[in-house]
Amino acid sequence: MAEAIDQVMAELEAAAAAIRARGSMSLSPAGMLRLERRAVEVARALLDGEALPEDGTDELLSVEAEVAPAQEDQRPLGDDVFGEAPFDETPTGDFAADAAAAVAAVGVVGAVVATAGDVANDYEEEDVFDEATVINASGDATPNVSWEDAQTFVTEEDSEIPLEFVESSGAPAASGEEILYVVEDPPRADVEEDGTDDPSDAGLVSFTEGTEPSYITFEEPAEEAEVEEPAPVEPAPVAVDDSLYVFHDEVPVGGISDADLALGSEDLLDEDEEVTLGSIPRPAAAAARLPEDDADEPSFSDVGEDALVTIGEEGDDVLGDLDEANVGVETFDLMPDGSEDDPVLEDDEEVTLVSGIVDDDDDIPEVDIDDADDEVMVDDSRGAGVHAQLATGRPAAPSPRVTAGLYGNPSVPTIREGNDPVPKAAAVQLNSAGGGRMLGLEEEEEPIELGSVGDYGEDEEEYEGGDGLSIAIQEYDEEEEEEEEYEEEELELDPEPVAPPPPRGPTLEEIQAIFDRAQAAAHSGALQDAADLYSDVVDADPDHLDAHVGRGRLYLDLGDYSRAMSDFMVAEEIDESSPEPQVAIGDLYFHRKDYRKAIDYFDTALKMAPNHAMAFCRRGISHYYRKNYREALGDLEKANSLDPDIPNIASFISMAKRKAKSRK
Amino acid sequence: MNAGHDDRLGAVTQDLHTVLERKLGDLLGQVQAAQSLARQVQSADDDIARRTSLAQQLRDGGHGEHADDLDREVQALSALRANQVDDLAKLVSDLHG
Repeated sequence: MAEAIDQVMAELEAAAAAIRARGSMSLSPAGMLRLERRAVEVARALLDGEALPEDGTDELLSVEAEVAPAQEDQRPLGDDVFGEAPFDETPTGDFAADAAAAVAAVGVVGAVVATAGDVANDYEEEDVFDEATVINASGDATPNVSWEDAQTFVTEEDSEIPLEFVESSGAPAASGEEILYVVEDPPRADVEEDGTDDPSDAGLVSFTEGTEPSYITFEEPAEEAEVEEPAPVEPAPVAVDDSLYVFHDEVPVGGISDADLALGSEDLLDEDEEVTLGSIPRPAAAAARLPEDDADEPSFSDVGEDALVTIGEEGDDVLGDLDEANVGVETFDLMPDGSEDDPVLEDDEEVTLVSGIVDDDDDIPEVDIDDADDEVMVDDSRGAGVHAQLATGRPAAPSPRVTAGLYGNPSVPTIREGNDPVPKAAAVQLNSAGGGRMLGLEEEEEPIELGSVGDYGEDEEEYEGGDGLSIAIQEYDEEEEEEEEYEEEELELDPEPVAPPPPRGPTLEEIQAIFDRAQAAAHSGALQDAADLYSDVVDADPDHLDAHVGRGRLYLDLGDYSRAMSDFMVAEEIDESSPEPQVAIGDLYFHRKDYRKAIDYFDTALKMAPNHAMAFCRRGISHYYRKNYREALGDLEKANSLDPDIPNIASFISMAKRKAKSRK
Repeated sequence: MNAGHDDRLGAVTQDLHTVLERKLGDLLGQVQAAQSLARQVQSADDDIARRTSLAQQLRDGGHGEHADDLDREVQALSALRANQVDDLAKLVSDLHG
């Protein structure tokens, strides 16, 4: 139904535009202004259910009919001179064939654009084609005719032969044929004057130096512009650092930290390319230290959804697809760009970094987690690592300060939070099995747990890297548990909380006060304020009949018939024996000039309340507008007898009397 | 003689322009009235859809009593919309002649 209304709206819009266009063709601006005013009057009358206002043109038309000569039927709008020409064959795209088919279909020489002489003269002035195809009466096309030969054919054979199509070809045409049409081949419209090829021009009508089209052609579908794909950019080999590296096609393309760690620049990696995170054997002294920034090395910032990231010694351990691992491509950024990025990790995510560092002695050194910016993102939702940020991933949190001197050993670094004078941790201690812990922290405070991959359930099955170092970050799980425990304790301490008192609604007196204010606002003309106050009353007492009727009448005055009808219907439901909703609905139809329906509702109201003065009055006026003056007069006099204070009742009575008398 | 013809021609032209104004004005007025009614129908459709959706949400939330109120409003709006559609159909029919 909505589509049908939309269709009607579109058609009406087009009709209005057509009417205005037709009027502007013949009428002066002042006449157009009068036309618009007339339209407004007519529209208003129609919407009010009244007859169209007299236009006074019948007399004029009758006079004109006497003096105006009979006119032929005009051709309908939009029906051009070629409307009935059998050119409806679908073009094949072959100009010569299409032109020949068109010629054969037409069968006459006249229905063309211009005569040969005209065309020849025009073309003499502007040489618009070099070669042409000559088409004879049977529709056979002779291609490859030069313009001079075609012009000769035209001028020698029949100067009145019209030209319709022109197409360039190769060899000259044989003379002596009867020429009907010359079809020009469109010049290379897609080649610009400067020799550049603009694919957007393909198949379009070209123009000469001026603005006139130089030929007429079927519009061919524009060919798709061939976009030359840029040559794939191979990642430039970079110097191998002695740390973790990201591999692309078995070529190390960057370190695991800082700028080197960025994975997947779009122009460097395709979606399905495999990116591996591996390691280069390196000296043990630098084994656990993440590489420093190196702006000279290429960096990556993104990978496609399906980029496969593996982490392991050999770089072939499949740990998961990014899209399945629920890692947003946009956030898949290993660049340590400080606090500007959103936190990558959720609180409950477990983050694992697996490195393929190989140490000949199997002696894993301490990892100095001293740089909050070291970022290794790992999504552990599938037990698969991608990369993780060794810091908590909360950019707002102050970075711990690293000091020295815990446990009496100045060589052991400590970690302090902010300006906390008490160090929170001393160092990260790793054991030979790959596990580890933060020194100096209480167990519940320890944010980072170090351990082998095998310590973490699902990882064990998927991870095949073997002896690598693994770092796991478990963030705030224990804190949450602690909070839950705290809440439980609170509940125990206060087992029977006092229920808040139920919201107290307004009393009947308060509702009546609001209703009185609404009535006062309505009388003062503040219709919207009054409607809002009525709404307050309805909210407090949904069954308040007078509030529904009052608000509906306000909506009626505001022209919102839908809301008004809604309120009246609700009021009718509230009290089916009350005449007020019936009178109100009758008033609504009265406003809409639907007097017949209005009278029906007033009848119903009067059955319920036979002495309802306003119902009599409204019904009388409705009868008046329906030109039932006798019934109108009876109702109005009855209303006047019941309530002489009805505004203008005397005027209505006198009007009805006059009309009733004139009817007699 | 020519002046008389010119006067007569001018008068006829003026009359024709007047007739054209009135007739096109009537036609445009009918179109505008139909457009107004179509907009009212669209508005009623929107109101009905909104109330229906809200009623369903209220029912899902366990507030069926308010949903019943909305249903009544939908019925009222539907009745009003039916009248509007009738009027619109009549106007469009008149426009088509």
